[in-house]
Amino acid sequence: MDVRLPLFVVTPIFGAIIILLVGKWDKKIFPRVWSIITMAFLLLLIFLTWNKGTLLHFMGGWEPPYGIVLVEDSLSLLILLIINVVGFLSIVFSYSYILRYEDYLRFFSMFLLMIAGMNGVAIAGDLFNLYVFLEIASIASYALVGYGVGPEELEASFKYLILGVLASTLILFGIAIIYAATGSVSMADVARFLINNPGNRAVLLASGFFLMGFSLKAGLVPFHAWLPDAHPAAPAPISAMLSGVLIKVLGIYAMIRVFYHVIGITPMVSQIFIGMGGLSMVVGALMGFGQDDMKRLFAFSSISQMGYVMIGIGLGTPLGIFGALFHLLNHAGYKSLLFLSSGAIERETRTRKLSELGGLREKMPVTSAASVVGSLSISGVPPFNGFWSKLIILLAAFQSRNFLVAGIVVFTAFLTLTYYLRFQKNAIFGSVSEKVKGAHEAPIPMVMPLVIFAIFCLLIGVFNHTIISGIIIPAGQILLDRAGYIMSVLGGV
Amino acid sequence: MRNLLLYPIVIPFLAGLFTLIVPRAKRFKQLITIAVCGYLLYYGIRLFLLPDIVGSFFTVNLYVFRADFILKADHLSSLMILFTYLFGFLISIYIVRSRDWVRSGDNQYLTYFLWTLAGVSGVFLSANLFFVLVFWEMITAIFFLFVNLGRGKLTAESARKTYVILGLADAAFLFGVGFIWASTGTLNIDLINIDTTAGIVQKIAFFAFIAASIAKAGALPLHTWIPTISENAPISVMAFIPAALDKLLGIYLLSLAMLKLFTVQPLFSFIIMLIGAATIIIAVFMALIQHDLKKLLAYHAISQVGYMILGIATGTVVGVIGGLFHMLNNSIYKSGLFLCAGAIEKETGTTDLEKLGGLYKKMPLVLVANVILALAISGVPPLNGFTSKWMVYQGVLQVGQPVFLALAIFGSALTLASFLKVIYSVYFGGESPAVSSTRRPSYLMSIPISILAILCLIFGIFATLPVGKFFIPINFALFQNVKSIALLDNLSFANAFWNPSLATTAIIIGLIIGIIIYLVGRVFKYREQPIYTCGERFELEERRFPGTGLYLTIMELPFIGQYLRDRDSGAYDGYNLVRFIGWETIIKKLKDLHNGILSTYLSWCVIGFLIIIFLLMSQ
Repeated sequence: MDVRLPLFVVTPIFGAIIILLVGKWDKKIFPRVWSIITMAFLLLLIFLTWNKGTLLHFMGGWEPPYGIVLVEDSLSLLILLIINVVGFLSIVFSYSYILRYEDYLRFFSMFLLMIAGMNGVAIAGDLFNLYVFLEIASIASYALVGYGVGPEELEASFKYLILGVLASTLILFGIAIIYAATGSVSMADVARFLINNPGNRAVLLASGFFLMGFSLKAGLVPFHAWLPDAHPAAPAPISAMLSGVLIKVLGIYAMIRVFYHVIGITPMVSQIFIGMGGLSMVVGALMGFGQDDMKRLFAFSSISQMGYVMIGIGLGTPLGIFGALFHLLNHAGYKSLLFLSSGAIERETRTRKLSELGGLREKMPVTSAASVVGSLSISGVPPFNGFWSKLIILLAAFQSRNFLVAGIVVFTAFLTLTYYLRFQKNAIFGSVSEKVKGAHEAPIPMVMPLVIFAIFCLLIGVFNHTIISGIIIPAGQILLDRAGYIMSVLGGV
Repeated sequence: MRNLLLYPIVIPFLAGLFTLIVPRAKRFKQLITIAVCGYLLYYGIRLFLLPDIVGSFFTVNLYVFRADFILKADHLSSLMILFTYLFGFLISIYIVRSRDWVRSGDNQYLTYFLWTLAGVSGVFLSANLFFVLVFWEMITAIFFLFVNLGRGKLTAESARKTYVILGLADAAFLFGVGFIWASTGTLNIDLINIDTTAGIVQKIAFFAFIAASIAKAGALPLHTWIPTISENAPISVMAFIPAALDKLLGIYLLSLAMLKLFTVQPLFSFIIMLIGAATIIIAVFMALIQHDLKKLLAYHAISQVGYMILGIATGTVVGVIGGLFHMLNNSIYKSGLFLCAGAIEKETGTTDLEKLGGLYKKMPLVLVANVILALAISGVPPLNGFTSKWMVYQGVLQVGQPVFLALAIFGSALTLASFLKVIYSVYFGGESPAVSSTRRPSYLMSIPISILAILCLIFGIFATLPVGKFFIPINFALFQNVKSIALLDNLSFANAFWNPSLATTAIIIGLIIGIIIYLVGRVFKYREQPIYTCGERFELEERRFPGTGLYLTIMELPFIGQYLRDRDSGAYDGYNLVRFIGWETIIKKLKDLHNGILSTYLSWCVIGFLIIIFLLMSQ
C-alpha cells in the first residue's frame, strides 16, 4: 500500500479545478503559476517514488482482483518520467507562449486534465480504469487541439475527435469482450486467467480491437491520418505534449502493457507490430519530404519514429525492447524540443513555412542551436541520444536475423537525416529571409525549456550506459516478465 | 604512453570547444588554432616514429552489444595521422589571410576546423569498427555545418544533393557494421574476416562498405556531390575536406574493406577495378570541358580517386602501395591546387577561367607552385604523381588487365592537357580586365602552397624515401587478402624498375638544353607595330586569347560529345535519375492519398482494421 500513488492523478485534477475557481479573480498570473507548481509537485512525487520497486495502491482498501489497483513499476516509472518532465517544461514554455491567446484558464486546466489522464494510464492496474483515464486524456486533447478556434484548428480537432472516438469505442469493445471471456478487468487477474485457460478465440477478436484502437492513438500507419492535421493545428506546447507524450502513453505504452502483460504476445501479433512499424517508418519518412509546414514535417516524422519503436517491440528480443523503450524516451526529448522551437520560431516570425524562413541562426541563436541539436539527435548523429536507440534497434534486427527489417531501419534513418537537413538548411541556415528580418530571440521562459531539452539530448547520448542500465533495462525486464507482473500485483492471492 | 593515443582526439576537440566559447577576439583564436595545429603536427611526427601503441580505454555496453574503445597506432594509422595534421597545420596558416572565414561572419569556422581534425584522428586510430563509424558520422555532421558557413550562394538543392549522397553512404556503412556485428559477434577490426562468397547478405554488406568509401572519396557513380558543392563551399573547406581528408578517409575505409574485413572474390575485384578505371576516364573528360576553376579541380579530384581505387583493387603489394602512395600524393597536390585557386579567387574575385588571364606578373610564386602541382597531378616524371601512378600501373599489369592500364595512362595524358589549359588561361594569354587591380597574395597564403609544391618535388625525386619509410614497413601480414610478393627495399619490384634520380638528371639536362634554345632565340630582336586599317589606328578592345575554348571540340565528337553534354547537364547523375523518375512520383502519390477528407481517413481505418482481424483470425 502506497498512499502517494493516487496523488499522480488527484493533484493535476485538483489543480485544474482550482484554476477554474480562483480564475474568477485572477485570470492572468495565477493559472500560469499554479500549473507550474502542480507540475513541479508531480516531479517531486516521481523523485520520492524513484526506484522503490513495484509500488501498489488498493483504492478503498479493496484487494485485487476485486478492487481498483494502482501499480507503479519500473515501466510505469519510465512513462511517468516522460509525461511529467515534458509536461513541466511545456508548461514553463507556455508561460510566455500563451500571451498570444486570451483564455488562459481553460488552456491550463485542460492541460492539467490531460496530464492527469496520462498519469492515470501509466499507473492503472485494471483495463477499465485504463480506458477511463485514456478517455480523460483524449477528450482534453481534442479540446486543446481546437484551442485556437480558427477554421484550421476546428477542422483538425473534429477529425481527431471522430477518429479518436472510433478508437476509444473499439478499445471499450475489446475490454467488454475480455470481461465477458474472463470475468475480470484487473490486468493481473485477466492475465492469470488467460494463462490457465488458453485458446479462447474471443480474446483474438479483442486483441484485434485493441490493436486498431491503440495503433490509432499511437498514430501508426494506416491509422495515422489525424496526426498530421492535429499536431500543426494545436498550440506549440500542446503539439509537444501530443507528439512527445500522448501518442506514446495512450498508444505505445497502453498497447505494450496490454499485449505483453495481459493478453500475451503471439508470433502473429509480433508480425503485425513489425509490419505496422515498418509501414509507419517508411510512409512517415516519405511524407516528411515535400512538407512546407515545419510542424507538419515534425508530425510525419513522429509517425516515422513511432515505427522504430514498434519494430523494436515487435522483434520481442530483450535488445529490441530496450531499444524501443530507449527510443521512446529519446523521442520524447527531441521531438518536444523541435515542436517547442517551432512555437518560438512561429511566435517571432508569424510563419511556419520553410519556404518563408531562413537565416534564423543570426536572429535567434539559442533557439536555432537548440533545434540543430534536436535535428541532429533525431537524425541519429552520434553522440546525441537518437543515434544510440536507433543503433540498438538496428542491432536487434540484425541479431534476430531480420535483414529486411534492418535494411528498412537503415534506409529510414537516412531519409530522416535528409529531411531534417532540409529543415535546417531552409530555416536555420542560409540567408535571412523577409519574414525573419524582424525576429528576436524568444523570451527566457520559452528559451529555457529548449536549452534544457537540448542538454538532455546530449547528456543522454553521452551517458547512454547509465540511462540504459538505470532506467531502460529495469523497465524492459518488467515488460518481458509477465509472470512477475502477475505475482507482484496479486501477491499470494 | 597509452594516453598519448588520446591526444590527437582530445586536444583539437577541446581547442575547438574553446574557440567556440570564447566570443570575438579573432586574432587570438587564430593564434591558438595555429599553435594547436603546430603542436599536433609535432605530435604526429612523434607518434609516427614510435613503435605501435595499443590502448583500451572504456567499453560501450548496450546490453548484449559491447564495443571496446580501443585505440591503436600502427604504422598505417600513424602515417594517416601525420598527414592529417600536416594538412591541418598548412591550412590553419593559410586561412589567416583567406576571406572564407571572415565571410562566414562568426566564430564557428575554427571550431569546425578543429573538430574535423579530432574526428578524422578518431577514425584512423580506432581499432574497433563501431568507433570508426561513430567518428565517421560525426565528420559528416560537422561537414554539413561547415559547408553551411558559405553564405548566400549555396542553393538548397546542391546542399541537399551532397547530404543525400553522403547520408546514404553513411547509412550503408551503418548497415555493414550492423551486419558484421551480427555475423561475427565482434567489431574488432583485426578479428574480422568475412567471405563474400558465403551468401547474398555478405555480398550486400561488402558493397555497403564499398559504397560508403567511394562516396566519401568521390568515385563514380557516387561522385556527383563534389562538383556541385565545389561551386558553393568556401574554397579552403574544399581544399581541406573533399580534396585532402575525404580522400584519406575514403581510401582508408576502402583498403580496410578490400584487404582486411572481407575476402573478396575475383569478380568483385574486377568490378572495383572497373569502377576505378571508369572514374579516371569519365571524370577527366568532364574536367576538360569545364571553364570554372573550382569545378574543374573538383572533377580532377574525382578522376584521381580512380587511380587509388584501381591500385588497391589489384590486391598486389605494389598496386596497394601505389594506391596508398597516390592517396597521399593526391592529397598533397590537390589541396595545393585548391589553395592556389583560393589565392586566385581572393585576389581577383573570380574563378571563371574566361575572366582570368595574365596573372604571371602578379603572382610569380603561386605560378611556380601551381605549375609544379599541375605537373605532379598530371603524372609527369619525376614528380610524385608519376611515381605512384607508375606503381599502380605495375599492379594492374601484375593482375593482367591491360585495358585498365591503357585507360589509366590515357586519363593521365588528358589530365596534363586539362592543366595546360588551366595554366595558360590563368597565368598567360594576356592580362584580362578583371585582374588589372590584383595585388600579390599574402605570404601566409603562398607559403603553404609552396610547401606543398616542394613536397611534391621531394616525394617525386627521392621517391624511394617515402615509399621505403612510409609504406614498406606496413605490416602486410595483417592484410590477409594481399597477395604476397617478395619485396626489395627499393622501388625495383619484380618488373617495375624506375630510377627517379637517373630520370631527374636526364630531365634537368633536357631543361638546360631547352633554356639554351630559348636564350638563343632571344638574340634575334623583334619589334611591335600598331595595326592600321584605312589609315585609322585599329584598337582591339581586348587583345587576348582565353584558353577556355581549348578542348571544346571534344563536345562535337560523335557519341562521346553527346554523352559529355548530357552528363554535364546532369542526365546521368544517379541522384537526379532517382529523384525525378521514381521518387517524386511516390511522394506525390502519397500526398494525394492524404487529401484531408475525413471519410477517406475513416475508410483507411476500416480497411486496416479488417486486415488486422483477418490476420489474427487466420492463424
